[in-house]
Formats: sequence, structure tokens, C-alpha cells
Amino acid sequence: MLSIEKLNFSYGKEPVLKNLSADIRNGELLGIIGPNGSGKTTLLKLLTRLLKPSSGRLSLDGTNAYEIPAGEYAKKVAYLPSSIDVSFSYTAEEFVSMGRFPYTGRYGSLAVSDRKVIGNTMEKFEIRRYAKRKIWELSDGEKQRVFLAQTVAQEPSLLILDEPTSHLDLGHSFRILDIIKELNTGGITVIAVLHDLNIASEYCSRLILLKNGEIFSQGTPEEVLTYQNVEEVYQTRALVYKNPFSKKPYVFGIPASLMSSSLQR
Amino acid sequence: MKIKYAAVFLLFGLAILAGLCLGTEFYGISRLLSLSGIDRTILLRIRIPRVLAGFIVGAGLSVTGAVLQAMLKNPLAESYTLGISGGASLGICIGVILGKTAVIPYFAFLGAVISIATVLVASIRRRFSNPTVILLGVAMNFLFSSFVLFVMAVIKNEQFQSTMLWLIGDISYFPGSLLISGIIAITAISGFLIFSGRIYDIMSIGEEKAASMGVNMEKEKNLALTLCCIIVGFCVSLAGIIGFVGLIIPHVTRYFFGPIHKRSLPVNFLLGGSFLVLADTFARIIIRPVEIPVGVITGFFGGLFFLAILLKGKYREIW
Repeated sequence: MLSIEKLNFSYGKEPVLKNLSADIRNGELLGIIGPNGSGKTTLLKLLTRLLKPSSGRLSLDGTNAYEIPAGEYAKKVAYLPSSIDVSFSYTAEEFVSMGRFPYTGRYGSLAVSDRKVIGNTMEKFEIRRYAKRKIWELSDGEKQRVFLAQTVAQEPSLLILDEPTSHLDLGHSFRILDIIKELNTGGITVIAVLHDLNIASEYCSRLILLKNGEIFSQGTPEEVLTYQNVEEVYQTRALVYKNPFSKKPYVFGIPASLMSSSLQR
Repeated sequence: MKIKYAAVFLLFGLAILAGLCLGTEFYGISRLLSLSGIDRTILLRIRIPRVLAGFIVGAGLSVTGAVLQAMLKNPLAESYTLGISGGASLGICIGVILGKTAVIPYFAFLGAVISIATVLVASIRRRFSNPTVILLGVAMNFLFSSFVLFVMAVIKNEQFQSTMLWLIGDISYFPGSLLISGIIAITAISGFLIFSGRIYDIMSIGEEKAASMGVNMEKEKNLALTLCCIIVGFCVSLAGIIGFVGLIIPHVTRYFFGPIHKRSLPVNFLLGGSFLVLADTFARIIIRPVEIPVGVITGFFGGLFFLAILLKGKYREIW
């Protein structure tokens, strides 16, 4: 559905993405992984058109993405930044309602159909209970649900998420990703930058591993998460096992301080 | 919620009534309705224009403050922290030096417009982050006020008093034509900002999120800053530098009515206007027959009220 061809991007002189080409396929849950500074977030911002590439082509369903008006693009592609800093005391419901902006536009107000979408989304994310509470009174886990609900209320066919679990503990991360998985099964294509390799392995149907602005490896979690790849890209020693329940690869990083003495592979 | 709206309208009515009735001369309601001769002249020529000016200035400053705070995501954003007060004061001083009272409002307008235009253009050219825009405004204010202090130090004594009134903020002198154009411009622009309220909701949750929802951030920022600049230009030329209203009223409004702009901007308009009319009325009667500049009153009561909310209010975080 979304494809990039020979995308180049640089902040100033330093190139961040080099000649990147990739296809995002309809219905997949694509994980983008890679070390800090490898260009993951930059790639997402290019896909959401927040940044413009210095050269290359970005197309959505075959049309040049830059020819699509911003409002139309927002109905198809929704983006959740890694952190949202809510300065005002919006309630959870008010916040989710903002997701309808691409449909109401500048002057419009929420129609019955908009309210229906908002209601259903809040139901799906189980946030009805605190609909009237202010965002800053919520816990990080509850907040992330509200943020994600707002993004989903945009009714996109492609959901782009930048580290959706970065502030969350293990249990909350799983619950957020379960929701994302469910949305994906429901037909929404998802691209997510994920820091936690094991979460990426568990949930994603395909992974792209970035290193220094280039695709180092891509494919199924089994193909990408080999210890050779992980060691090479993350500059650390690692072991890769299989999660006994899901049979997906499970990565153990090994601190250098431990390597010297006891452990020998 | 309904009671709160009723309270705002009640305050609005009270403010207008007080502004018309109270002053050096007191008019009761019955006397207000059956005026003749000199009383009629006072009311038509002095009281009504003054109430209108006070209202429209307070309304304009509050609405612009609310929009700027949302857009720049900064609790200290308002027209005056963006360098406008400095530019306007300099304009006023130049007008005073030229010695023609009639031209001072226009110089004030020009000063305000030039200073915010500078902030605007510099911010866009250099792609400043929002806090940096505020810093730039503060720096401009310091620069301008050093000029102002210089002028104050060298002007003649009789000019000193009138310059001082302008710089504190005072609604006792303005040309009638300016009032009419000010009312039209401020009402029309505020109306547009109110109807565009959803944009400022979206902007207040972050530039990236807003842009990804289809808001053309650069265009919207320029538009809003330009419109705010025009409003403030009129406010300054009508009433001088009235601080605090544009900063405090938006916070008070959000505290009581929540942050959704379609709801809060109209309240800002009414509340800001009423507050300034009340403050001006108070300024006229507190030590009759001497009139104190309204800026003194807004600073004092606005400050007290805001402190009370901050220290005793029910929210831990106002912002």
C-alpha cells in the first residue's frame, strides 16, 4: 500500500537515510528495529510526510504521496509520535474526539457518525470508564490507550506508531500490543518502531532492521533476529533462543562485563 | 456548566451597567433612561465610548492570549511577552517626542505591528522552536524598553505624565474613528478565531500530531500570529499597554470552562471584556475625582485573583 523508492534524507550535511527502498504490504504488522540513531523515527516521519526527503519517491496505493492533500492523507495514514505532551486539561473523551479532525475540518462540528466512531473506539480501547477524566490524571498505561484511541479514531488504513510501548511496563506493553494486533487483524496495516526486540519478534509479521540509515536485513522475525545480525548491528554480544510458548526468536543481550570471564558460546 | 455560562453573562451585564452608571458622576438606572442635556452628552460622548473601548480591548487581548498560548504551547505566551508591548511603547514615545497627541495611537499601532512582525519573520526564517519564540519576544522587549527609558529620562516634565499613562494602560483618550474600526476588526477576527477553534485544540497537542492530522502548521501559525498582531495593534492604540489581561483571563477561562477552544474562546471574549470594563470603572471611582490608569487595577486585582486560584484552586496543575 505504501512504498518508498530510493529515499534519501539528511539533517544538514549528515545523511540519515541512504537510498532506502521498501514496500509496506497491505495488512501486515511491520516492525522497524535498529539501534539509536539508525534512522527509525526519521523514516516514520518521512512516511507521515512530516519531513520531506531530499530525493526519492513515496507512493500511497500507487499515487505520489506528495500530490495527496494533507487532509486526505490524514484519513488514510495516522501517526502516533513517541511522546505527546498534553499541556491543557483535556478529558480523555475530548482528546479522542480530536482524532476526527480530518473529517470535521476547521469549522465543522462532530456529526452523529463522528460520535459513533468516537464511542466505538473508546469501547474498543476500554477507556469509557475514564472518559470524563483529565488526561494528566491518568496513569501512563491509561494515557497511551487514550493516545492510541485518538489515532485510531482517524479511521486510517495505515497506522504508524513510534515506540508505542516506550513508557510502559511489561504487562501494559503486552496489552497495548494486543490491541494493536487486534486492529491489524481487523484490517488496518501497522508500521511500528519498536525498541524491545522480543516484543517486535512476538507481534510483528515482518521486521526491517536498520543500521546507519540503511536496511541491514528484512524478513520474518526468524530471518532477521539472528545472533549474527543482532551482534553486528547493536555492537554487543547476544544469544538468540526460541520463546518456548510462541516459538518466536527470543534475544538475550549479554553485557560485555560478563563476556570476559565465564561465558563462552 | 450552564450555571457557569449564566454567571459569565451576568458578569457581562453587570460590567456594562457599572461602566455606564458609575464614575465621577453617578447615574441611577432611572436617570440613565431619561437623560437630557449635559448628562446625555456625558453618556454618549464619554461613558459609552469608554465602556465599548474597555470591552473590546479586554476581549481582544484575552482571545489573542488564549490562541497564542495554545499555539505556542506556552503558559506565558501572550501578545506582550511576544515583544509587542515593547514595540508599542517605543512607538508611543516617538509619538510623544513629536508632540502631537493625536498621532500617538497610530504610532502605538505601528510599533506593535513592527515588533511582532519582526518576531514572526525571524521565527519562521530560522525555524525557531516555540519556547525560543517567547525568548525572542522577551529579548525584543528588553531592547525596546531601554529606548523607552532613555526617552523617559530626557523628555520634558509635562510630557512625562501623559507618556506614563500610555505605558501603564489607560482608556481615557482615543479618537472615535479608531474605536469604530477597532470594534469591527477585533470582533470580526475574534469571530474567525472562535470558528477555527478546532485548529487550536489540535495545535495545542503538539506540532507533529497536528501536522499528521492534516493541519498545515506553518500556514496556520502565520495566519494566527498575523491576526493576533492586528488585534493587539488596535488594543494598544486604544488603551496603551495593559498587561496581564491577555495572560490571566485565558488561564482563568480554561480553569472554569475547560480547554476546548470553541467553548473557551467566546468565554474569553466576554470575560476579558467584562473584566477590563469593571477594572476601568473601579479605576474611575476608587479615589474620585482622580482617575487612576486601568493598568494599575488589572495588575492588582488580576494578580490577586490569579494567586488565589493558584494557591487555593482545586487543580494541582493549572497549565
